[in-house]
Amino acid sequence: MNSPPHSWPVIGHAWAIHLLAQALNSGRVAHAYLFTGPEGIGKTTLARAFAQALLCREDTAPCQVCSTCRRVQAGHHPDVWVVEPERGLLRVEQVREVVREASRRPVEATYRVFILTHLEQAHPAAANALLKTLEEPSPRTVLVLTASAQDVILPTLVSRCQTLALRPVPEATLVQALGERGVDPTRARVLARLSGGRPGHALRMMEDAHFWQRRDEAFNLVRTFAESSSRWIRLEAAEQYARQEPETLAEALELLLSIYRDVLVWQAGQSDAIRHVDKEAEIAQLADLLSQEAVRTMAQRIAHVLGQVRTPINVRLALDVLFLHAPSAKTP
Amino acid sequence: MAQALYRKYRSQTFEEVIGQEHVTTTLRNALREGRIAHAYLFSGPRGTGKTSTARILAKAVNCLHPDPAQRPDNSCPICVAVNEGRLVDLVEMDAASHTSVDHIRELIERVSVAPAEARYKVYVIDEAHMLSNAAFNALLKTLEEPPPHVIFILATTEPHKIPETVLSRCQRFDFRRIAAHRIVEHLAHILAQEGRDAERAALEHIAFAAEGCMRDAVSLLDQLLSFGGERITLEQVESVLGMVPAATLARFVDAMMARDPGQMIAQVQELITQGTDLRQFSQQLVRYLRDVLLVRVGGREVLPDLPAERAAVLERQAQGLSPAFLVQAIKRLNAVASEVRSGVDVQLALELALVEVVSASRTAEEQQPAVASASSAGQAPAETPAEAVTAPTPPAGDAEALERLRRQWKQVIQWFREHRRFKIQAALGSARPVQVMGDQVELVFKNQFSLDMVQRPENLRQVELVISQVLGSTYKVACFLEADYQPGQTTSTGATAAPPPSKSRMSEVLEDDLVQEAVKRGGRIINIQ
Repeated sequence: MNSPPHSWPVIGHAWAIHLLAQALNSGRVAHAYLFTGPEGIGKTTLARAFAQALLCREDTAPCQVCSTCRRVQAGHHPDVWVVEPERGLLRVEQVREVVREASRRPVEATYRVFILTHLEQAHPAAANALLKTLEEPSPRTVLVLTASAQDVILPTLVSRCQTLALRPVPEATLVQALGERGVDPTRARVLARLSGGRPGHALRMMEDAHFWQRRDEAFNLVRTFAESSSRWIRLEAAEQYARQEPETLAEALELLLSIYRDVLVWQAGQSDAIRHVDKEAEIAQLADLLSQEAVRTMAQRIAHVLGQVRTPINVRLALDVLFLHAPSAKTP
Repeated sequence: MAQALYRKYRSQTFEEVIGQEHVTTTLRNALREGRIAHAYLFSGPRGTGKTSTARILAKAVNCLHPDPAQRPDNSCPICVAVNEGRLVDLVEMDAASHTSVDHIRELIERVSVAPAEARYKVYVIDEAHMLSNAAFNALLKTLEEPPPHVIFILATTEPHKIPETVLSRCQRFDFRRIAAHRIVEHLAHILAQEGRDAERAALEHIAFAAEGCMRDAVSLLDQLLSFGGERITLEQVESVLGMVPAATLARFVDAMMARDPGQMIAQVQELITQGTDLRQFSQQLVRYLRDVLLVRVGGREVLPDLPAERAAVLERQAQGLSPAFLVQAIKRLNAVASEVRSGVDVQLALELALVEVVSASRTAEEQQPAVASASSAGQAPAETPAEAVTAPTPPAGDAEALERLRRQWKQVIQWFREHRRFKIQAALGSARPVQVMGDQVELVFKNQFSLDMVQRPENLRQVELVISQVLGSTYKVACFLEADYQPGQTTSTGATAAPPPSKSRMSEVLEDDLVQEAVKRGGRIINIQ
């Protein structure tokens, strides 16, 4: 569906912006919204922009220039509350405060907006405490909840909200947005594809000064594994990887996985579908060197370890086993 | 701010409550006869009318209309007060945000006070399952002997969390999911009231997505109305729900039939380029494959609601995909679809699953005929010598029976095919007989799923029957997983006949790169184990 241009500071999601703007213009703003989608897709960004649009008094709302817009963006506006889980848990006290505040009149604006993020991390009691406020809120109060998916939060919450399920941003849109931020077109495509259509994720990689270097290292490792079956090299790599923090380790493993995935995709004859579009030659070489079966098994193994790195496991041991199984040219 | 449609069109009379006639009729009859219980429990999925019915009941018992059959009339002062939410004798408590025993105590203290203006004081406790144990206990006594002017209505989506002692003191009514066509009717009714219009297919799509929950359906409609525009279209609904058209799914399953991982990866890439939510796509794909499976085992009659052309596509695809493959694919893809950990790369997970499903089935197909042709050609399968030699003095009959069973294994499978027991047929396809001992036949399976299928008592009996027929006497069947099957007696020929290591163990060990590195760093080999 084509949507008219807008001034919302959001990458992609034109259909959702169109919908929210329409609701605003026709005076049909609902009292509760739920934005769902994976991490980095732009839920909180969209929620903030919506708050700006609700509060901004300029004709071109959200204008991004007036004091209201700027204070919302900076998180200083008294009528816009952003409530996030603390150490992985949205507690019932936090929600009770919102419930209490939601019954008050706006301080200076026309609406009070409450943005509650990561509802999937809400304590059950906290989620339940929201129900009544969601169903019968005081007028001039708008609640925006965000969650990774609909089915991970209380169904009774979902059915009281207007749900917008944010979807991956189309590649072209994301490439253009990255281009506007000074990324060269080929690299923009790599980032867009690696991010799986999640602008937040793409921007994080863009801002990471060492990203490209780390990617080259990952490619080197895969090639080293491919060219030598030495177990010593493998264990040494495992030791290096194990020294990282769980978060960076996960990112490093995701990079490795994305490379093996590209090799697999290349072997399946889909050279257009690879993510590292600037590394065609290298991927073609790896595809030649390694057997399809071995690459597939390795990808599965990495995905399996990835599922565990954030849990308390013996990371070193897991990596030893993983890398010892890394395919080399000799592996059948 | 616009009032939410689901609140604006909340049912106000028993007649307006949709799809719960079994509840409303009973309640109305009881009211007409003046049989009013003191405690009710309304249970059922969200958005099926529990709270609405509770409010209607509160009006009905208090309505001033002279004819009990006409209550609630929604025009007397009491009804109006309830509709406007200002009747003091109707107390609605949200148990979810008032879980503690103190809230209940506070409520109970006031129970004994006579109603202010109505006949009955009605307490509606919503989300009752959220009450704490202490709160339930405090409530018990009052539920058992309530003052005559008090009615309790407990509403919950999770009745199993209500203590038995409370349940037994309530008259219980179970609300059901609302049928899709009733939801469509209601949506059409709302649209007419709002002076708006929609494509029929769009409404059907909404009803389908709402899964029997009226509030979900009406919320979605509300959302689509705020789109503006003349008419709600199917395209708009698909855009808001993020669903992939059925034709795309059909194309995808065609690639699956062709066992073409490249084609599938290309299509996933296309979807992601367009900005499709792949997790939702996986869910849709699972549902689609389930339909194919249903058609495969039950014929197209099992899905009478499907449009003819879509049913034809399903039927064609059902012919090309074996039930075993479908079950495997559904299982694997369902794991992807229900993967909710954030940060997981769904595209990758989906691609891996697809490649895995297709290549697994390819190898299974390649191996199956190979085994079958080997045994049917009368050649002894490779493992026979080992077993024959090492089995503890096998009675000649056993070896012969095994040989006969192997030769006729194809016919055993064929029997199940002819008798339309496709699941067993498919499961046996990945099994082979490895041993006959006395009255026992041992089968090994390539995968757990097939094993479980045959292990089911009713299936096992049938397999035993057929095998007994083939062998001409009664046999029992024992099933093993191929990976786990290690009858102590079968030592592989390879191991025993392996040539003695040509090199000394020391030089062999020294070739290992790890050992080399260790030696380089000053290590010394003390012992080799």
